[in-house]
Amino acid sequence: MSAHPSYAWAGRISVAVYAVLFAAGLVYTVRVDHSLPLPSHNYMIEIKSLMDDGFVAQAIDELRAATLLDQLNPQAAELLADVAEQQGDLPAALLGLRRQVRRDPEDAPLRARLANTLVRVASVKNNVGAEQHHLQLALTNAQTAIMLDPLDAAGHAALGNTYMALGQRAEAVDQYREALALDPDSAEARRGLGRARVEEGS
Amino acid sequence: MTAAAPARDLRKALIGRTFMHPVLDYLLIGSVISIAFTAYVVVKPELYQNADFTVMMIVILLANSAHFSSSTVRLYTIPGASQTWPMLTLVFPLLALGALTVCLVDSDLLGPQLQALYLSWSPFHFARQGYGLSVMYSYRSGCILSERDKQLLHQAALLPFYYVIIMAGDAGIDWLLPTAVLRSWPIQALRDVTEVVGRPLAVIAPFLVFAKVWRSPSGPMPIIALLCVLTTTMWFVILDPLNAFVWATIFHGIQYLAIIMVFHVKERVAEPDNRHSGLYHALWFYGATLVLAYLLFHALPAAFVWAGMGFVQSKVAVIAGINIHHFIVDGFIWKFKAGGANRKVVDEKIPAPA
Repeated sequence: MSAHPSYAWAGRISVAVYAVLFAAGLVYTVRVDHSLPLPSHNYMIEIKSLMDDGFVAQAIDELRAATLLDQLNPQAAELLADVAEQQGDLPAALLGLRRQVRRDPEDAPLRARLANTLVRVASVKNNVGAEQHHLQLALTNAQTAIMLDPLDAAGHAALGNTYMALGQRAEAVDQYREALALDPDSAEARRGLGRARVEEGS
Repeated sequence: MTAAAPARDLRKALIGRTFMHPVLDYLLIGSVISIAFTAYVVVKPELYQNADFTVMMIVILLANSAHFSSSTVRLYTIPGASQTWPMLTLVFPLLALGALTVCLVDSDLLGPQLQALYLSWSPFHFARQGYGLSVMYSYRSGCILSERDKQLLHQAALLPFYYVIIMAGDAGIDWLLPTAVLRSWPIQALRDVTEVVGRPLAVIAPFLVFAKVWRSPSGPMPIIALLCVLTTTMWFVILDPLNAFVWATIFHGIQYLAIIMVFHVKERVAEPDNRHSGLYHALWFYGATLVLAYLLFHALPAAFVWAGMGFVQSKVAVIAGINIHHFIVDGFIWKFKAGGANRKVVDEKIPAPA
């Protein structure tokens, strides 16, 4: 096929650049990455293997990128929330949870979990404005969780935690009691009620 | 006003004039295979929920990835392509690579935009493919659609696209409009109405157009023309809510590969100096698309990773970039100008019976 004379140079550069990139990618695959010779769209496999090898911080970075960039992959946000929460990386956990709530705004337990994480983020913030913003968001999410599922103890416990963070101890105790009435085994509500009593005593 | 078309045998008119064999055309291009699959997964969703990862990767390589690269292989194997489209064939690959690299350098800012552009464009591409195939089969089968009917068919085919750009998160209007506008009552009302009527309308509209055309002077469209539009709708209406949309992209890929190979093979076989069988040309074309698919979807992101980019960013951006490149190339290689290579394939004479 003869190329158009005006743009033949561009064609030659294209061929050369792509050939170099393809060759580099193949060499990297074989010698550095040792990956499967399959064109995996699913980078989650690689992220999970990073975690298995102990590179959890790097896995969280990759999960954060996947959560921000790849709307077609809901598992990234789920895994990010779980792993980051375990590692105490609250901003990353928050990102994962917010993405999940955005995808499924009517998931009451998820809203409750988001409210709890927002309260935890607010408690470690030094910026008063940001703290109030996070607590207001937590309040909205906990109330939405209860509205979506009034019989879910987790929603009431999350609202209790939010009221505690806002300094509204009486309302918090009511919510913890409501949570325990719905689920006597709710550890979150028991912890919260214990904390409220300690604060009341002091 | 459309002149009355010559009377056609109803059975033949409904089956239509196919490219390969009615069974193959209906299975692969009419995507009856996806209708059967969808019916099956509705009953047994564990089929895709428990699908083996390695098997899925192979299926994606063979159908989905190959379909993206096939448009590039087709572009460069159309005789005289670099003379006809010098910018597209010679300059655009460099521009595309440059744009992709810029998106990767500032992936936090540009990566989501690239992804949103691809997700917004993708349903349009699916819908346009269904419409294009539908018009092509109608024309080839002697059903000359009036301009009005073409417009109606076009709008019916685009309904899944409208649904997605209105309803999807992170794409369509969700991406293009500011949050304040998205929360305004007209947009909320539009979304509420679309939520209720969007899916049923997308299913019913192609049937209504089919019925209207049947009653027009052109007579019925072939059923495969209806299926080409309807299957696209079905993928968005049924598979998407089942979170099985990856299968839609696989069936779209199979449909695309089948029709693009038909055009490539028929064009090659018709060349005066051709010495090979149709099977040879088909295998050559598919082999080339597979090799290119592997290089594009695996080697190219790996090269970016080696250059220091994050591997998630590299994979996601390369996939989005290849999609957009494919959409643009498609806008050129599927033109049906009178006297053009594609038109010759559509207009081919049916061999006289022996």
